[in-house]
Amino acid sequence: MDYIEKMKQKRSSLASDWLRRTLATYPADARAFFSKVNDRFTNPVGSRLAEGIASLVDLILSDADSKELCEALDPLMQLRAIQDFTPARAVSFIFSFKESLEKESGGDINSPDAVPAIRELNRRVDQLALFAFDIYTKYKQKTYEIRVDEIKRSMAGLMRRTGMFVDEEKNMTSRPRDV
Amino acid sequence: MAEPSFDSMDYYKKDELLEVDHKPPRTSWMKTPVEFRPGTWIYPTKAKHLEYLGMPNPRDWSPTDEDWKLPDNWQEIIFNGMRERLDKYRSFKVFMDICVRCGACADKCHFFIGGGDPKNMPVLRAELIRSVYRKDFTTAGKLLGRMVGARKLTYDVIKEWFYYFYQCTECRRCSVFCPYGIDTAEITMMGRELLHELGLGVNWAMEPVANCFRTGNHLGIRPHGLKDTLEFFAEDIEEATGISIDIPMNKKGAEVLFITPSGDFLADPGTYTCMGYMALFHEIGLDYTWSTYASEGGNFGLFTSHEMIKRLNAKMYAEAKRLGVKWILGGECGHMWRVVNQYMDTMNGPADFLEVPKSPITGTVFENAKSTKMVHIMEFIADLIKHGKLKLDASRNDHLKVTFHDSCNPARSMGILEEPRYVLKHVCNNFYEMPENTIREQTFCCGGGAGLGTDENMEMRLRGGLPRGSAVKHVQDKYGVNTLATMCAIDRATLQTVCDYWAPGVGVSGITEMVANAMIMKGEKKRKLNFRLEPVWGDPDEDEEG
Ligand code: SF4
Ligand code: SF4
Repeated sequence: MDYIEKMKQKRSSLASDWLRRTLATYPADARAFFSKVNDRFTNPVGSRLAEGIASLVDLILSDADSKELCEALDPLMQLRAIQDFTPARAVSFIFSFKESLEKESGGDINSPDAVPAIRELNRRVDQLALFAFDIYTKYKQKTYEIRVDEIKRSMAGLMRRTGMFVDEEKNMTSRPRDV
Repeated sequence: MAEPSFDSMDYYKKDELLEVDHKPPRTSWMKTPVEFRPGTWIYPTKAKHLEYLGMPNPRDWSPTDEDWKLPDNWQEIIFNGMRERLDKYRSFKVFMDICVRCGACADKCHFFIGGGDPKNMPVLRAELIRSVYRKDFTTAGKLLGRMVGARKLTYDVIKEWFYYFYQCTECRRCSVFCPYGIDTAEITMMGRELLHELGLGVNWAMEPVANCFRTGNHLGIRPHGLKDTLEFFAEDIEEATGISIDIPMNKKGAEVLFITPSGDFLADPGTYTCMGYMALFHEIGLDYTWSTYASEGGNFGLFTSHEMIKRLNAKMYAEAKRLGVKWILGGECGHMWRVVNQYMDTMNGPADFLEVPKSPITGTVFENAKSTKMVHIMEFIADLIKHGKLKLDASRNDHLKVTFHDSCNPARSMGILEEPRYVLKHVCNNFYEMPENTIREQTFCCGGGAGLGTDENMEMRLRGGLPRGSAVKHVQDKYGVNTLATMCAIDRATLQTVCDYWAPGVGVSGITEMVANAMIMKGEKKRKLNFRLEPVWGDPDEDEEG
C-alpha cells in the first residue's frame, strides 16, 4: 500500500492530532471548552473547528481541487479572522498539519514511496495556507464593509429625508446580499 | 491526576483558579495585563458629555494611553464606592459572597463561546471585582491574599475592569444557568458604576445619555426634527397604501402615550417598524399621542448607573402626567422593558396618577401592567388579533421565510415569549424556530447590547454574535429562512450586521413592520408596495383597476 493510502487509513487520528494542535492556539480554558462539548449551537467554535479539520484532512489526502479546499477552509477562516489572532497566528494552524503527518507516519516515513508523497502533501499544505490567507483577507475586508453598511443604515432615515440620495434608491446598502 | 474539567467544581478550587493558564501569555489571569487591540474596545466618553451630565473627572483620554488621568485618590474612590454599594444593594453583597465556582455559567457567555478569552467566562468576569472585594472587605482575604483568590487594586486592575465590563452585554444568559441565581449582569453594572466614579465610560453610551437630557432622546433629535420625521413616514405610508394618516404630537388628554426607542426614527430597518406603529394606530383608531419630550423609550442609563436609569426613566412618567394620558404603550425595545419591568416601580413608581391599562379596542385590562401602567406593543397587538380586531392577510408576507430572535431583555427580564410568536404566526405563513437551546430563556445575545452596539468594537461583537449567527445560518440552510424578526431596536441595528457576516442573505425586520404589511387597511388602494416601498406585490408603474 502506498504512503498516502496508509495515511488515509489514519485519517481520524490525523484529524484529531491536527485539531489538538489547532486548539493549542487558544488559551487553555477555551481549549478545554472548545474540545469538550459537541453541540453545534452552544459550541459553534469547537464544532466548526472539528468538522472543518476533518474534511480538510480528507481533501488534502485525496488531492481535491482548490474549490473544494476553499469551501472547507472558509468557515474556519471566517472564524479566525475575527478572533484574537494576528494574521500570521490565524493562519498558522494550517502548517501544523505537517507535524501531525510526521507524527502519524511512524516508521512509514522511511518507506521508499514516502519521500515523494510527503513532498507532494507538503506542497498541498503550502497551497492550502495560501488559500487561507486569501480567505482570511476576504473576511477582514468583510468586517470593514459591514461596519460601513451599519453606519449607513443608522442614518438612513435622515439621508432619505434630506434628499441626500441622488437616485430614489430607498435601501442604503445596495451591495448584493450574497457578496 | 487528570486536569479537572472547566465545568466541574474542582476546576474552580481557589488554588486552581490562581493557576488558570492563559496561553499566550503564560501567566495567571490575575497577573495578565490587558492589551487594547483595535476592534475590541469602545472609544471613551468625551469630556463635554460628562460635564453636561455633571459626572466625575471629565477629560479627553484614550484606553491605549499609559496614563488614564485618574484622580490621585482613585483607589480610595473605588473602595468608598464599593462600600457604599455593598451597603445599598443587597444583591451585590450576596453575589460577592455566594459564588461557589461551580462553573455552570462558565461556557454560557456568547463572548467566551465565540472568542475563548477566559475572562469572558461569567465566573471570571465577576471574579475581577470579587478578587478585590476579597482582599479588602473579607478577613480571610486581608490575611491570606492570593491564597484565597484576593488581589490588590492596581492600575492594571482598573484597566482590566474597563476592558471586560465593556465586553459584557448584560444579557443575563449566564444567570439562567447559575444554581444560585447570580446575575453577572448586575455585577457588570456595579463595575461600570465604579468606573464612572473615575470618569471611565464609553462615548457610545454616554453621548446618548447626554443627548437624552438635552432633547429627550438618545439621538438628539429636536422637536421639529421629530415632527418632520414622522411626517415623512406618513408620506411613505400614503405612497404605499393611499391612506393619509394623522400624527398626534404632544396631545393633551389623549388616552395613550406611545413611546418607542429613537433608533426607530432614523435607523433602517427600525424606521419601517415605526411606520408600522403609525399605520396600526390609525387603522384601529387609537386615541394616542407621540411626545417630543419623552421621545425615547431606550434608557442608556441602564448601561451607566442606577442613578442615571432613574433620571432618564422619570421623564416618561413626568410626561404621561403632564399630558394627562391614562396609560403608556411601549414599542419594540429591549432594555426599556427591563427598566420598566425590574426597576421603574421602585425607582420612580408607583405611577398612581395613571390608570390600569385597558385596551380601548378590546376592553382587555392588562393586569400585568397594573403597577407600571405600561403595556408592551406585542401584548397589545396579540390581544387585538385574539379579538379579531385586525384584518390580516398573512400571504402578503409569503415572500418571507421567518425566524424569531428572542431579544435578551424581553425574554429574560420580562418573560414575554409567547406574544411575539403568536403575532408572527398570524402575519406570516412561513415561520421556523431556531434550535431550542438558542431561543426563549436561553436566547443568545446579538453581541451589541448594553452600550456595545457601536462599530468601534466590531471584531468583539462578531465573536459574541457567533452563537446567534450559527443558529440563524442553520435555519437559513435548512428551511431557506431569509428574515430574522426581532422586537428590539438595538437588535434591529446589530443583528443585520451579525447576519451579514455569519448568515449572509438574511435580512432583519421588526414585528410591527410585518403586522402592518399583512394588515388590510380600510380604504387602502391596491397594495403593490410594502412599507419599505419595495414592489413586492406587483409593478407600481403598471396601471390596474384597484
Ligand atoms: S456564578 Fe453561579 S454558576 Fe457561575 S460559578 Fe458562581 S455559583 Fe457557579
Ligand atoms: S450577562 Fe451576558 S455578556 Fe455578561 S457575562 Fe453573562 S452571559 Fe456574558
